[in-house]
Amino acid sequence: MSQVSPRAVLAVGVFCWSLSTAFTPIAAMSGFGALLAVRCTMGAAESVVLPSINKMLIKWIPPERKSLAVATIFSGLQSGTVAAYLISPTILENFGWQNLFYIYGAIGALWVVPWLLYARDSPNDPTSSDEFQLKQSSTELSIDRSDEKSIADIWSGAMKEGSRILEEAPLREMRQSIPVIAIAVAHAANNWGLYNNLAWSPTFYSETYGLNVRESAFFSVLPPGKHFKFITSFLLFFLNRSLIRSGRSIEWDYGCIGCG
Amino acid sequence: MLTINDRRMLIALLTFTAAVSSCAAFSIGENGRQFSYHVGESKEELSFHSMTNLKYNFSKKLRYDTKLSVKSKLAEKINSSSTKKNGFTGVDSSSLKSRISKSMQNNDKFISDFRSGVKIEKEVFDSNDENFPSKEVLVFIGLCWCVGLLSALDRVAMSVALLPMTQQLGFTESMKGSIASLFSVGYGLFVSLLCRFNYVYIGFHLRTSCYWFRIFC
Repeated sequence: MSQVSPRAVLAVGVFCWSLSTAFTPIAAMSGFGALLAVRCTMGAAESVVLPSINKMLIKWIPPERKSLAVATIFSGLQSGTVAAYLISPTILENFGWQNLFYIYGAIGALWVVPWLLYARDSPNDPTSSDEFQLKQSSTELSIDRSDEKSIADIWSGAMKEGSRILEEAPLREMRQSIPVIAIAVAHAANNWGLYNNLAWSPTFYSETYGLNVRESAFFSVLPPGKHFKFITSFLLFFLNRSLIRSGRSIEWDYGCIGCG
Repeated sequence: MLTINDRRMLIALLTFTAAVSSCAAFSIGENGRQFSYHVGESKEELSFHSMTNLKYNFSKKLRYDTKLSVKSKLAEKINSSSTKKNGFTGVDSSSLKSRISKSMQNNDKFISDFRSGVKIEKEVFDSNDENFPSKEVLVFIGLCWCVGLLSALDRVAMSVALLPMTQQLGFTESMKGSIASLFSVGYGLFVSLLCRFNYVYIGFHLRTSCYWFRIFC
């Protein structure tokens, strides 16, 4: 099994995307390709968030209560979307769009400090202050130092393990299984709608109705019901808990109801 | 040389392919993400997951055993009654008996697995259950909430900032589209990479879900 610490991965991810957010204005001024590259880097860095959180939640929260924790944490995503629409216009009007990216990048980079101070991979994992200082001085090592393996070892081990899993995983059955395809299609459709909304709402309002930045951002908050999804997910917590208590496997039930 | 219209078409086509590939990559990656819920790699983590399957398998097995025993008893009855009457050989109960003994051999392993699983489950539950939402856990959840907020903030900020940026830098529609889509391209590709390197541990979950699908569909 790979020995990569999710805490360190998340710290590096947040640092990278904050950095690329802060570099967005410079990239935009220097050229279109640079801007695309920065956006791509940012997407790659943000993809680390949910797997890392899931991986740590396994050790932090007992499965009965995990859905509540997941719902709480995912409500942060929706709150962030709403906050971005409500706060960004004010910053844009007062400081200009360059400073918007600088400010958001700085907030992200500042978050890394309390994370490294207080977060641990698991409740039983002692992270001493000495180790923390070591990590901080070498700008957030992505590999845990507690096990004495070189990066090459970890890399090759992870490669082997990954290929083993891919060989063992019944990919053919997955491809032929209608429920799996249905989940993939439903999720693609979900993201299609969501990202259409996220990317184009402000532009649509400003171009079609001639609204200014503040108004078009405000109206963008309302349409996607996705922002209020976390209410449903809190309700699902109770269902989930009773299902786990009764000892049934929950993935089929969820696939049946179609919860994203 | 390409005309302006051709170039526009090319850019639109490229954007479309980028969007489609990002959708595909994203959906694959996201499904990997969804499959990764509730799955871990250590003994305790796996025990939670395998326990549910184990419980189900065990109950299924018990049902199977009782079915077999009932069948064999019926067969014996039929045999005894029919041979008395008119030499009818009836159902062959010996094969049923051998099946029962075979399935009974596995029972000990099943039970010991089950017991050890229950033990591990109980230990982990007990260790976590004492004054559960401790300060540490709350701080951890708060930090995770913040990181979720930050990620959404940074990814949505672009769509709002795009309005003044377009005024200043003169983006076309397709340029705006590719700015929006390149985020998802990076996201999807990197999530797939994480799956590849076992950071997102999908194998176990995929196996179990296929198992369920095979049963129910």
